[in-house]
Amino acid sequence: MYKSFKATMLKYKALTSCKIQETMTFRFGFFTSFIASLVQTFVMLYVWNEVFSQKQTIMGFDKSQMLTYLVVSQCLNAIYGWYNATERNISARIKSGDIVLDLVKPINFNFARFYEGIGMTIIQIIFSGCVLLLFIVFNPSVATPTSFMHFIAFLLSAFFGYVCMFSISLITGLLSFVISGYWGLYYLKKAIIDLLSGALIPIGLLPLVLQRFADYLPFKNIIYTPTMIYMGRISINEIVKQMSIQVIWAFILWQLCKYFYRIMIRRVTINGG
Amino acid sequence: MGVKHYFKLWIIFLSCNLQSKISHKLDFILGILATIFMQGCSFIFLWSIFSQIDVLSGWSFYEISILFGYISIANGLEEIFLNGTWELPGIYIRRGELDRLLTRPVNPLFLILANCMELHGVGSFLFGIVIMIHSFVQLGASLSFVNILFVFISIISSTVIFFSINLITGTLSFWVTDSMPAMVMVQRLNQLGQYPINIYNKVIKFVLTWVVPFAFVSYFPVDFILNSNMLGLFSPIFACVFFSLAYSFFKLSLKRYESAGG
Repeated sequence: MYKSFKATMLKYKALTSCKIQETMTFRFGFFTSFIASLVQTFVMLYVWNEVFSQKQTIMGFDKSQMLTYLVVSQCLNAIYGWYNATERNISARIKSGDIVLDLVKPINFNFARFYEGIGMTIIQIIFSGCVLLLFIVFNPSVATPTSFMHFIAFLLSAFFGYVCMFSISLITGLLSFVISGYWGLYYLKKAIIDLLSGALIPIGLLPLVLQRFADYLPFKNIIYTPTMIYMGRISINEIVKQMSIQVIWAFILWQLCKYFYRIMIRRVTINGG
Repeated sequence: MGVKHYFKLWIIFLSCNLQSKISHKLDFILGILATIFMQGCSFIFLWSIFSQIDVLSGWSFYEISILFGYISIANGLEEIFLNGTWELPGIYIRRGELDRLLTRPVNPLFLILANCMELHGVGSFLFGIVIMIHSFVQLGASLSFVNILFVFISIISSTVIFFSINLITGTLSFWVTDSMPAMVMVQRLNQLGQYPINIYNKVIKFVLTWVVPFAFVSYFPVDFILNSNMLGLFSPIFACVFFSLAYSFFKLSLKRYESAGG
């Protein structure tokens, strides 16, 4: 039993290391796309600077807290960037017909995509981590995690958030089996997640209608919850509660992936031979 | 070949593009929705900020909304009509598809543009128009005919400046292996133009005005309409200068083109 588990893990690990190598081969494109995603952060940094020159606090955030929120949430957002969007990967393989190679392999399709994603995510984490570190060092407003305990909780929570995010991305990817294209779906998903996950702005600042939406949807588990834990804005009890919610959502979304896979696989058309 | 001929050709390309889009109906509709949502997303960010303050660097909510709408329109137009530059590095130069175009008795740049119209740009175009008109009404601005004409001309100029910048960065592919990253980088900088440039520090202001002139794409023209900042009048001139620069660069680089073979 243990042996077979080990063998399975080895297969998936190979996918991860393949992806890391692939990313490193195309590092220049990867690197610039990462830097480009920082432009938005800078714009918002200047906007907040201007806003806080008029006001001391907004919704209980002072300037330093708001900038910390901005940088941490944007770094988290960058981890799930354009380059490791699973739907992009799947859609490209559907278009070229290579998807058949994924389907005949004796490995779980969804798991395989997850481990592939992890490969690129590792590199994204390193980049994002460096950016966060640079901000902490050079911008005195951006704070470190509240305590070591909070930092550990943040990492854990960010991981659960990652699973949620990945599952949503995978569902989008599976949908492209039917839609024949991912562009619209990808950006639609991105816009909704940017807004309702709190990646752009703390959820408390959104219009009330959207706040209600955010409460009932899984998106705020992806960025808002980990960022709030990083900043130490929620109590220990609340951290436990929020993390349980994250785990539940991660589980639900992963089950949805399985369900979608079963439906979509019946409708797949393979191009070429 | 005269303008009339080109126009006829363009209509044929347009109908081809439309047909291919309609064959993937759902993807097309989602694409339009996506462009609207993306613009809407940054707009809600703006709205949220203005629920806290009244003025940002001397600009009110509706004034910045006009800036927003203005960029959305120009972005949309560029996407619909002039998006082909994005195909330049990958498809045309690296894969050598440009060969095919060069054998035809038509301007290659025209073909590049006509081949690739991203019709989902309609989404951000319409979004921009709605936002802009609504904001003008809310501001109670009485626009004279001359003003409307200026808005019209300057939006066209802005679209041309966007395009020229893309053309320059795209044409770089003739000289380096892949200029796509540079294209993405420079294009992303246009997000800086969504806000009054006075919120930035001196270096960024200088770059936006004189190096990558995104300030002339949005900020100066809108500033002219609202506060009669005379720099806005230069926008059409800038567009002409920039376009001729970009086009001669393209022509020059074309001479250097060595096919990828195959």
